[in-house]
Amino acid sequence: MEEQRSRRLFEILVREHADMLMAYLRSLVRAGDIVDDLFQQTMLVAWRRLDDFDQERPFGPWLRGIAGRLVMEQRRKKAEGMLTCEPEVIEALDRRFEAIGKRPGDTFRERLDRLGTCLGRLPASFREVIELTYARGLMLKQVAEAVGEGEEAVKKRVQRARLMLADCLTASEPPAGGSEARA
Amino acid sequence: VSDEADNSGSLDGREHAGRSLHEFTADDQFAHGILEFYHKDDAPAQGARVRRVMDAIAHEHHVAAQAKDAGRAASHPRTSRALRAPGRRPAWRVMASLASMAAVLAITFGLAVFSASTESPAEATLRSAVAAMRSEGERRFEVRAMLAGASEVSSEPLATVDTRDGANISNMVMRVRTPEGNFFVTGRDDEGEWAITQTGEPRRLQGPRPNPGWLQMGDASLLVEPVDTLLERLSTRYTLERREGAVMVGREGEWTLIEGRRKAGDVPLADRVAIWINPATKLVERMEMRWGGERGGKGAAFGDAKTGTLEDGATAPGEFGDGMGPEGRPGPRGPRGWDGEGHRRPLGPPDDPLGLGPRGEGRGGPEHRDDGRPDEAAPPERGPEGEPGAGRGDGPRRGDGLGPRRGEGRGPEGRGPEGRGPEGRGGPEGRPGGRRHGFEGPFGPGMRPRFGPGGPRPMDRPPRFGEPGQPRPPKVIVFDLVACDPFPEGWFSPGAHTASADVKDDGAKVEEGR
Repeated sequence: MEEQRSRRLFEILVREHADMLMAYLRSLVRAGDIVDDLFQQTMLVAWRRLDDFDQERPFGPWLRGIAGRLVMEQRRKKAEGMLTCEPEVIEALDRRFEAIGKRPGDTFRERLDRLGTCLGRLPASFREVIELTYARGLMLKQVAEAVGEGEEAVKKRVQRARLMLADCLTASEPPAGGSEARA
Repeated sequence: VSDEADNSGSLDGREHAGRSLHEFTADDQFAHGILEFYHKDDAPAQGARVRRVMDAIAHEHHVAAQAKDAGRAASHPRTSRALRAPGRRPAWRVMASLASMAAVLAITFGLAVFSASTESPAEATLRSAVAAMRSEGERRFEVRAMLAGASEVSSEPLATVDTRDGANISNMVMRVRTPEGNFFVTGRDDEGEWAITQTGEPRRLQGPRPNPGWLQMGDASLLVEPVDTLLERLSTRYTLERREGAVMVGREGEWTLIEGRRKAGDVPLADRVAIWINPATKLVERMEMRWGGERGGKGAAFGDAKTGTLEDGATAPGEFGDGMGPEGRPGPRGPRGWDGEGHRRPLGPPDDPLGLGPRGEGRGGPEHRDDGRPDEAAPPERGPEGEPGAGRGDGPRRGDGLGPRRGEGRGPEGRGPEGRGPEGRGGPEGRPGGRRHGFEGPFGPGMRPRFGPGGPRPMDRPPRFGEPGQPRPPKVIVFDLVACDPFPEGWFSPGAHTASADVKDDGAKVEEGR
């Protein structure tokens, strides 16, 4: 009975942090199947080590700590499908997610509510390549063909757009202009 | 997503300026992760991941429990003797036998756990309801509410939520309007999210709608989301109980009722919810949410939770009360009048704002019409289940003084609400949810939405009730599944909801339109 109750409580934690963990893992891992495996492994490790968790501290960073170690372990075994995950990068990523976690909102998605505004503030040509890449899932070559430019130019533009988005998402002040859905 | 596009290696002096290489990489990968998450990890996918985790944990637990039992068995005197006794089965064979028994038991229990999971009956019912809501088909929910400052649930729907094949999977249109008739419309078609600006122009949104759901209407607030999305929040944020054979306001039959009380800390979600599920189809046919201990008032389905007594004095058997009229059976709702601007006036007599009064003859007209709309405005067609109603225009010639004495008499606008015909809710055949909607009326193309600064305003973030500058919480919100004709072609695209057919794809202009 006690075990069942513990599982229920843990499930609440899992549900509350699933979105954050997926976004975090997707920041470190390119291959979708590996992301799914790491998500499950992270949660299972957290469950097994729940007694080690300091209840005075937030659960999210602890979960990211487990995930980060598992990602590095995975990369040691097989680098394919992984993005850069040096300890310094993981640490810097953690700070960004921590900043998002401090925003008002019930859920991770709600804390990311400025994404629409940030996308709206990108120059049109930047927004276009981001949409083609992420919303439509096109390969770099296809994106380049769609916009009629070279792959290298598009690659740089995508990267610059991501940097601008990162700056906007992590800025302490909300971007001017409010949300797009207000339109 | 393009593998190449993930590349974070090429540095450009301009972007790199002011950041270390690690910071640069982290920023790049951070935005990549957020974008990937937003476009790939929707609620059903996340729900499935969580279920897999919890199943794995349950499986692990049972395997461990079986191993423990096997260990106990090995230390049992009889088993121990078997292990020690010379001339009997060799110890390794006994061990192998025990191990195989344990494995069989573990697999059996594991399978049982996999199928039963760790859900309570209410959670399992809710999960099957979510799956049903996302199954193939087109659905419309009407949303009525008792907003802050109101004393009864709005007789008119304040919003409709139309979905096709499930809100998180495919197409969706949410239309919200103020009592004054100003609209906010947003949706999702095959090309992505869109919204209609306050100037009435369609705009494509880049990515998902930020913080969908909460809208500000003056100093009041309203929560409108696809019901399946709302249901997903319930299992973790509410303490749920299930009851079979429940009654529902205005509907005949018995229902599976899920009642939920919000766990602490999840403001601004409703304090209590009640969900009526059709036991045959598993579809949610009504969902009610209430805040601040609101007992519902007139027109709300909630009664006193303990006595089943509605606030307006009607006594009902159900825990939430059934809100039925004196005859105790739901009756047809008469058509509503128009105010001369294309907006319908509230229907029904004042003591029955939801039109759930006694079963009548299906002729709502004389009692319900209020503007004397001419005949051509509401043709005498017979509704699918109901009898001819006031659509014949035989209502009183004079309305309530708010509308013109003559209606506009124009074609599509003039038909019954949402084209459902004059039979009103629940026909003589008593079919639950038997209202049939076409696409005319205040939420259809026949009614040209009015957009402007006074319209519902989507909020940037969930409201923080009680804080300065924040709107007041709603008291009651009711989602009703209504029978629905097939949606017209293009219904889920913005062009169907505005006078302009051109959808501008320039997100930058969205800000200008604010």
